[in-house]
Amino acid sequence: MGWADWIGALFGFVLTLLVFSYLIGDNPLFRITLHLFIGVSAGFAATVVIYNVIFPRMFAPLLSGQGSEQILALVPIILSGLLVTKISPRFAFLGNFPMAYIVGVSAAAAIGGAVLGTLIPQTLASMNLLDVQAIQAFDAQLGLRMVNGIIILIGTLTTLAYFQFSSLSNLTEKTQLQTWIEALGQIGQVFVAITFGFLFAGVFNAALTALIGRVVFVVDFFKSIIDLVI
Amino acid sequence: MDEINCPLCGKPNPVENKYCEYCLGYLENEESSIKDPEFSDSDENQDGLGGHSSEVEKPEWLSSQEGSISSESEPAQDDLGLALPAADTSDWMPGSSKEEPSMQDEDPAVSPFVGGGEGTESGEIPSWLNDALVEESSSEGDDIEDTPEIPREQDQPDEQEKIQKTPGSLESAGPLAGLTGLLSAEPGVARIRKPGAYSTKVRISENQQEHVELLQGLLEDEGQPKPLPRKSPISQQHILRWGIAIVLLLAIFWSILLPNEQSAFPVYDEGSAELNRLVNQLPEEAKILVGFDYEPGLVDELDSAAAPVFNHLMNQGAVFTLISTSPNGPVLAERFFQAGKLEYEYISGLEYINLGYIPGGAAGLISFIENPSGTTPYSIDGVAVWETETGEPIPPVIGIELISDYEMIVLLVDDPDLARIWIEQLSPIITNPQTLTSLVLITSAQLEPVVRPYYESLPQPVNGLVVGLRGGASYSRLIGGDQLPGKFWDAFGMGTFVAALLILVGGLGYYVVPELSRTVRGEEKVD
Repeated sequence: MGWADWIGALFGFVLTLLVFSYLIGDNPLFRITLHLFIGVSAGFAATVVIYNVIFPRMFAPLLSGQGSEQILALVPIILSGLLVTKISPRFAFLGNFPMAYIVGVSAAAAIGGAVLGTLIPQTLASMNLLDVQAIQAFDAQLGLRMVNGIIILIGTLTTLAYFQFSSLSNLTEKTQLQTWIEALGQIGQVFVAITFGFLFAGVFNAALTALIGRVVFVVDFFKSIIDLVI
Repeated sequence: MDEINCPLCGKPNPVENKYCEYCLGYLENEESSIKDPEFSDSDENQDGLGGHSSEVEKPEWLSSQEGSISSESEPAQDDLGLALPAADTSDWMPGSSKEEPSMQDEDPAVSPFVGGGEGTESGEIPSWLNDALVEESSSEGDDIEDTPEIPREQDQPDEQEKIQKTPGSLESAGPLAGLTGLLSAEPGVARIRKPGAYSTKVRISENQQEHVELLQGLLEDEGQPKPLPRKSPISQQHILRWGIAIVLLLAIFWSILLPNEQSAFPVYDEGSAELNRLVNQLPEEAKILVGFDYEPGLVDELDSAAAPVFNHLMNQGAVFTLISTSPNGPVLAERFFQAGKLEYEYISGLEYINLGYIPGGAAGLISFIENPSGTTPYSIDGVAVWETETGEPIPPVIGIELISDYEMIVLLVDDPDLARIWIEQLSPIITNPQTLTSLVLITSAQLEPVVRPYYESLPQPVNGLVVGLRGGASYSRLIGGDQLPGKFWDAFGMGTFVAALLILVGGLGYYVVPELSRTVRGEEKVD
């Protein structure tokens, strides 16, 4: 390890201990680390954007490009300039056009992607769960797939029943349909609980791996020091 | 010129006259109508309009007026109920009656055709109109009897003003002073009254006053700083937190510092096995697009999951194009290839190229999918990637014009929104039977509930899935290597076991201990 690596490792070790100090409660050392992390992240992001986006894609074509490239490069520069006017209440209206353009394009991309990439395909996939021909086309384990499909179908229907809150009747006594929906909702509650448990387990696994990574780093750091001394 | 307010109507009035000219005219009219034997002695009704109809009975308000005026012991009452001094009236009435015509003498405002007795009798109106009016008044006689009296009394001021504003009357004040024959303005607008004096003191009861003082005291207390109650520096929460942390850290340190025989990797994971199959089918020097979209906090988990896959890909001779939709992605990608965590050392620009950061989120990703060379013309080093000085692109992107020219797209992601955006935008290409490109995901464990439905669905928008450290360990077992996941695997197993134990003990303590204590209390009561 070179000196730069040693300094980096030492700095990382100290910051790791400062983050672990949160165990004794919120304290200035932890806050310093937090602010340092936020500041470094923001600064790094700004550097990446300047060197990877603003200069090569906005100003470089304007300075070294040909006629059509220079004209095209003016468009983002002008729109960006109008967007900067948003910081002034007096001239903020000038930034409405680029803002509307950004929001419109982003919304179109998000909605189009959600409909064509998630909503319709997942709906079709739910329909195909019990389609024997479709299962055989992709997978030979027909029986397991069918069982899996039935479980998913039951889970989907009962979970939807669990989130059915509207009253079907003004009568004081429950109708037979309401009784059925409530019973299905009780089963759906089990599926919801399993889902939350799955989510919690995933988050815990990710956090535990991060903790192990830090512990391994601390141990490796001490091992390096011991090796250096010995 | 000094002015006083008329005591009857409140209008400004010269100080020489106690009452304004309108009220004077009205009072004069009242007196003359009472003194007129034709009106006073008649038992017939005499309202303002049908005063000359002998069949109509006299209204009650007029009768009361007559009675009050005739009685000298009591002050006269006007139609508004205000007291009028009888002595004053007798003083000024004659003089004013000479100057101003009385209602009986000249009363066109009440009805220019029927009001004045003289005018009617002299035949100034056509005979046909006179006949019609007489018929109308005689026919309405009974109805008028039944008419409520209060509205008639309320109409009196309007009639009074009409009387005073008859053609020929002289305007004495205002910009039109000196003109005659003026039409009166709307009564409500023209009548100017001095605003009454109102007390600004709130009339509240003692009880309300107490409530006000109570509220005031509460508000004042809120503004004064109060010392916070002293909290114990060590609470049960602290002890619980420290206990869990110590137990967990001890288990992890024990697994790392005292390595025993390493635990076996998971035998089979369907997503990892599918990805392994896809990698084995790749051609020599396959073009792989890699998306680095995770944060530095999860670098250990993602590195552990991705290292076996990339070792396998490098072993197959694949070349990589790196891209990211988050600003931290490019440097994490460089770190991944240069930090020595992989079995092979790839050279930037020759075996992999880092195209850097795509701004714009989903829109930027769509742009890159549709036109990779136009969206990212330069690498993170500022090198023109798609057209070098020789006119050829650099090796990792040779033959790449569309996104579907890549054999495989590998996405390293820890954010559910970013994963969804990638899958949604690539789904039409991946599920198209004409394309051979496959999309595989290497994700954090916390993302599995979000991305697994895409992998399980038919047709598959996601063809392979490696989830967290467990997925990496499973893939590592498939290829026969145990470098990076093996470093974490034992500690991960021990940590998971201890955590499950803590959850179990905590759950039992939460539910069982109160039940036991309740049972013990019950037995003590029985004894």
